[in-house]
This record gives sequence, C-alpha cells and structure tokens, in this order.
Amino acid sequence: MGLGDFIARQFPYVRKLEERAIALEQIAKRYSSQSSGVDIVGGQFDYEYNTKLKGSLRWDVLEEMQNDPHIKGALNHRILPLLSAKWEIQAGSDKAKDKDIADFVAANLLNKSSDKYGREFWLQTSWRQRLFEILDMLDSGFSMFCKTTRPVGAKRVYDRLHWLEPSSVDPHGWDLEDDTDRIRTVWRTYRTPQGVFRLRKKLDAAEISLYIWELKGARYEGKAFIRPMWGAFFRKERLQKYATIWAQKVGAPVPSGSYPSSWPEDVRQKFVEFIEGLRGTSPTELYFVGPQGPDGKSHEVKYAGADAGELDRSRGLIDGENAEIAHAGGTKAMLLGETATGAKAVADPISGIELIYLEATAATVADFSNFGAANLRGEVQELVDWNFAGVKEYPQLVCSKIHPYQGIEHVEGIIKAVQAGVLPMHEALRRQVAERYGLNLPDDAYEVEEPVGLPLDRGKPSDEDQDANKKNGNGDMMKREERALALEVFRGRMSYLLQPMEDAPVRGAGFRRARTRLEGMHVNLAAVQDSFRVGESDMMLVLRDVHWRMLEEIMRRVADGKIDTRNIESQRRSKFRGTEKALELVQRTLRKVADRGADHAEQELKSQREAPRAVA
Amino acid sequence: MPLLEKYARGIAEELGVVAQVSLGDLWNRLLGEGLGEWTRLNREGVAGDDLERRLRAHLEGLSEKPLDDVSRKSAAVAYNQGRAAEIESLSDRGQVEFVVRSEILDDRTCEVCAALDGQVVEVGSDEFFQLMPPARCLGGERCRGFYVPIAE
Repeated sequence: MGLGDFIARQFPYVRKLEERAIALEQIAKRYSSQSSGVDIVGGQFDYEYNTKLKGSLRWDVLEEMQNDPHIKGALNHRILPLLSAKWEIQAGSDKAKDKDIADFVAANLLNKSSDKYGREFWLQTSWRQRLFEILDMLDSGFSMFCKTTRPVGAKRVYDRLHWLEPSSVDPHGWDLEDDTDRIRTVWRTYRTPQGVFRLRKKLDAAEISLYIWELKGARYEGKAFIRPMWGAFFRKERLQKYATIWAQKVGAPVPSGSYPSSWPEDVRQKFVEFIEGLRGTSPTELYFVGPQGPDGKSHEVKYAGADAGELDRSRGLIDGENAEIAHAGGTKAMLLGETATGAKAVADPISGIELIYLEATAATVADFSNFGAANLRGEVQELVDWNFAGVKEYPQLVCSKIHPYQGIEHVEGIIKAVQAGVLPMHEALRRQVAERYGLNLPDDAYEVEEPVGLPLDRGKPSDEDQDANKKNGNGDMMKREERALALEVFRGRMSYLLQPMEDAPVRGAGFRRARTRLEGMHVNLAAVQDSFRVGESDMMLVLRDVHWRMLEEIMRRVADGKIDTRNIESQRRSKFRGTEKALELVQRTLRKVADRGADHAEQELKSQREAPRAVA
Repeated sequence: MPLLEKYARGIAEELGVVAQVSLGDLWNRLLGEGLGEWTRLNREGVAGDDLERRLRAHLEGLSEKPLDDVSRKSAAVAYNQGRAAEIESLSDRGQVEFVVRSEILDDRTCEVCAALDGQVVEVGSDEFFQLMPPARCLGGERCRGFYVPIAE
C-alpha cells in the first residue's frame, strides 16, 4: 500500500479532489480531440505544431528558407512557368453580352484593352506583378490583397489590388464568426513607410481578397508550399556548418614541426620562423635549411588532420537533404544529372508529372480569382456583379500554354474528329493545333480554303492546267482532261435527272427547293428525313442512359469519399469507368443509322437501274 | 448486297471515333459540372447527405441540349458514313461512278451547303471525301445534306 492510497483512505476529501482533477483532465482531452472547428485560439491559428513556424517568428524562418538555393529552385520551378503562361478571361458563352463582359473583366484585371474597354479600365498594377504577389502564397501560406475601387463612367472597377505583407497580419488578427467560420475582419499591425506605427488596424472582409495554399476548412493562413521542406532545410543547415568547419580544418591545415634536440639555438629559432611562415596562405618564398642530428635524423613538418580523409565528406548527407527538398517541391527532374545517381532518360516522364503540379497551381490561382475563398468573393465575379445585371454564365480566368507542347497528346484525336466530320475545320481549330506544336504562323496560313467543288460548267482544262502541262509533261494533264471529259459526258447524259420535276413545288414542305427528277423519282426523301430523325431519337435515348450512368458514377465517388480538395484535379482527368459498355451501346446505335443510310443508297441505285432511262 | 470488307471495317472504325468523341464530350461536361458544384458546396461548408442531395439536384437539373446536339451530330455523320460506304462498295463493283450532293432537306440550309447543293463529284476522288455531308456545313450537327448515287 502506497502513501497516496493511505492518505486517500484516511482523508476521503483528498480522494474526491483527486477524482475531480482526473475528470477535468478527461474533459479537457475530449474537447481538444473532438473539436470539429478550426484550431484557433484568441484569433491565432494553432494548427501548426512547430513553434519556429508559428506566429510572427515564422516570417524570418520562411525568409531564410527561401534563400536556400534548392528551395528557391523549387519555388522558381513552380512560379516562373506560370508567369510566362497564357492567362485570359474566357467568356461565359458565345453570346455577345457574355463576350462584352469578358472584355470588360480582362481590361480591368489583366490590363488587356479591347475596342470598347481601354486603358482607363486598367488596374494600377500589371497582371504579372500581381501573379507574382498571388504566388507568394507558396512562400507564406496565403497572399492577401486590399481592394480599392474607382468609377469609370457608369462602371465600377478595381483601382488597386494592394498586396499586403503577410507579416503585417497580426498573429492574433483573424476574427471569424462562430459556427460558420466566415471571416469577419482581419487585424494588421505594421509600420508605415513614414515610420508611423499602426497597432491592430482593421480590415473588413469586404475589403479583402485572399489566395490560400492548401486551404482546408477554415485554415485561412493555409500552409506554405515550402513548409514540408523545413525538416530537410534545418538538418542541411547544420550539416553545412559542420562541413564548413571541417573544410576549414582540412582545407587550411595547422602546421606543426619537431627538430632534433641537438640543434643549436639559432637554428631552432630559424626553424620556428619557418613553421610560423607555413601558417600563411602564400608561403611560396619560404624555405629552411638545417643540420641533421648526430643519429642522422632531421626535423619533421606535419599538418594536423591532413591524413584524416576527404575535404567534402558531408556531401552524401547534404545531397540526401536536397533530395528531400526536391521531393517536397516536386522538382525531382531538376535533380537528375546533378547527383551521382539518376539519369536524364527518366527526367522527361517525371517532368510530365511536374507539369501536372504546375497546372494544378494555375487552377488554384484561377479558382480563387474566379470564385474567391470562403465568404470572400472572387474578383471576377464581384467585378461582374457590380457592373452587369442578370448574368447567368460568368466569365472565368483561365490559364493555358504553361508548356509549349501542352495538350499535344489530344491533337491526333482532334484530327480524327475533323476527318469524321464531327468537328468542323475552322481557322481557330487550325491555329490551336499549330500553336500546340509551338508554331506561330502568319494569320493567312490558318485560313480555311473555300469548299472544293466541281462547278457545273467545268469541263475544259483551264489555262493554269495547260501551263502546268507544259512544265510537267503530258501524263497528269491527260488524266485531268480525261476526267473532265468523262464528267462532261456524264453530265450530258444525266442532265435530265438533275433538272427540277415539272410538277414539284418550288419550295416548302421541308424542302429548300424543287426536287430534281433524280430526287423525286429515285430517292425516298421521307425515308431519308425519317432516318435522320429516328437516328437522333435513338441516340438521344442511349445518351440519356449513358448520361445517367455517368451521373451515378460521380455520385458514387462522392458517397465513397473519393473526391476531396486535394485530388480534384486528378478527378477532373479521370475516365468514366463505364466507357467500354457505353461505347458498345453508342456504336451499335450508330451502326443501325449507318445501315439505314447504306440501304437507302442501294435502293436508290436499284430504282435507277430498273427505271427506263430518259435522255435529255 | 453486303458491303465489301474494307468498307465494313472502315465504317466500324469511323463510327468508333464518333462514339468516343461524343462520349468524351458528355463525360467531360458532366464531370466538370459535378466537380465545380462539389467544390462550391464544399467551400460553403455543405457536407454529407446534404451535399449529395444538392449535388444530385444540380446534375439532374442540367440542360439536355448538349445531349441533343451530340445526338444530331453523330446521327448525321453515321447516316452519311453508311451511304458513303455503300456507294464506294458499289463503285468498286462498277455500278456507280458519280454522286450528287443534295441539300434539298431542311429549308434552313447554310450558305456553304446551298453552294454545294447539286455538285457532282466522282466517287473516291479527293472532292468526294472533302464534300461528304456534313463536311463544311456551318450548322455542324444540323446539316441534312447527303450524297445521291447516280447509276452508270
């Protein structure tokens, strides 16, 4: 029996106090572990556990980390390609009104003038500067802007989106609503350029625009992109200090000497001066000559630590930490070829993955700019709401061409779709395909040729044909002439069939002109019309079914918790699991439509062969 | 008369491309809408059953116009591919050499199709493929053009 038990038994009130303390401790534990809200105490977010990276202490640490060459490299890798990418405001639809709205937003946010919206609509800062400021969220976790506006005619535009130093946000400055976690105000403490100290200056939610890296729930300070590099940075910094000390010791070794005890004093003194001279960095003129001892032994000179090993013996450890930084920064491709292992051969596929990281970063920027963060409105939508009523399809900030060959993998599919007639050959399509190959051709190179047809009056070779014939010999010319002649003869024979029927109405009843004899006598136009209609209707039924399956798949993913904020981009690229079955259904339906077309063509020929041929 | 093997194979491939592009369009649109709405709801703090209910309502409330467009487009392409395969097959058997493009159906024909109406082209020539309806039509999926074979 311990003393505690003895006291508790003898003095029951002690036991009660002890039980109460245990109960309170349990309650405290339960509250801290089961809290569903964001971890915030007295206006300071508390979800970061490392004290060096909390509160105002973190800014110096993060600054120091950004100056590490490998961390800076990772940041540049994530930031610079986005600065050179193409950013634009995409209209909500092809309607003139939506295009006008997009032009207006582009003029203000991207400083891109159009015929209607010129420089007077521009923001004070350029888009590139602002993008750089937005991407400070990678360094700091969040990037905050103070919005000011000005009127331009009847419109209201942003005058300035002023980037606020993240360190000026008071560590205890986040004022959130209970229950909803909406941001009410943010308090800042800072010194003005004139040296005036501002303590707890208030910014209302309506004045703020916020970009957050790794936003989860109400963690509005986010998490800096470089945060996971902290451990490696911390260890590397120490390793480098030790390596430097070691390099000092081994790279600039301390000389030591010994001489025979029989040497006279004056020789000893010269030897000491010689050893002293070896301490310098340029002992090029130094020399010493002295006698040997009676036993034939002479003096000895050594360097402390010279035989202790290589100068750069911490390299392996430091490389290991750099690899950790590259893992966290998604820059493994940069590391290949730099270290003793790795090969350029695998760099390309890795770069492909890293390109996806870049796209995700661009999408994050666009998302916040379009839709805002938490209860803070996105700049694009806010700007539209101030100036246009009843907008259904909002314009959006979008980013493309992060990599000159981005999207090139789809080109083959696009070409097939054009050949199949699913996509029309259009100037814009040609331009996009060419640009995906990194080509920038003159405007006229994209023009779509006029439809190639054989005019009804064509028959004889043109002057150009005859010139070409003179240059190239007669072979091609003969073939062209033969074809043209055959066509002419054929037209002559068939002209009766290609003329309008005498009794056919000129227009109407679903027809754009009078039927020709060919169409009136040998084509079942009602059946053709019906095939288009039934084909559409059958396809619609199948597509509705497929659409429903697709919808159910998306809902299943949501129900199974497979969609979260971190994998949203990979979800966006995911495939429909039921593709194979859906393809089979659609192909079967299309095949029925095609078979009808084939039957009709066969019937039309049969009808012509069986009918008595009239000649014009 | 059955299609010649090479045309039967060709049409299967072409319809496969049409089907893939059509389904890709639908999936990308629906997934994009779904993830966009999920993100919006998530940002508003909606979760669990409520999120699922609202997301489903959003997806079920989407317009059917894209489905309608894909149906029209793919049916027009398929019907004309079927006609073309039959015509080419019969051309190989020496039964047809020329076709005429007809735009008689639909009284809202686009400028390009109106200009091509009545064009006679040789089966298998470059023009035959370049002008095969709905190629060149400004209305895309709304085209009602087709080739009529002309017997030898």
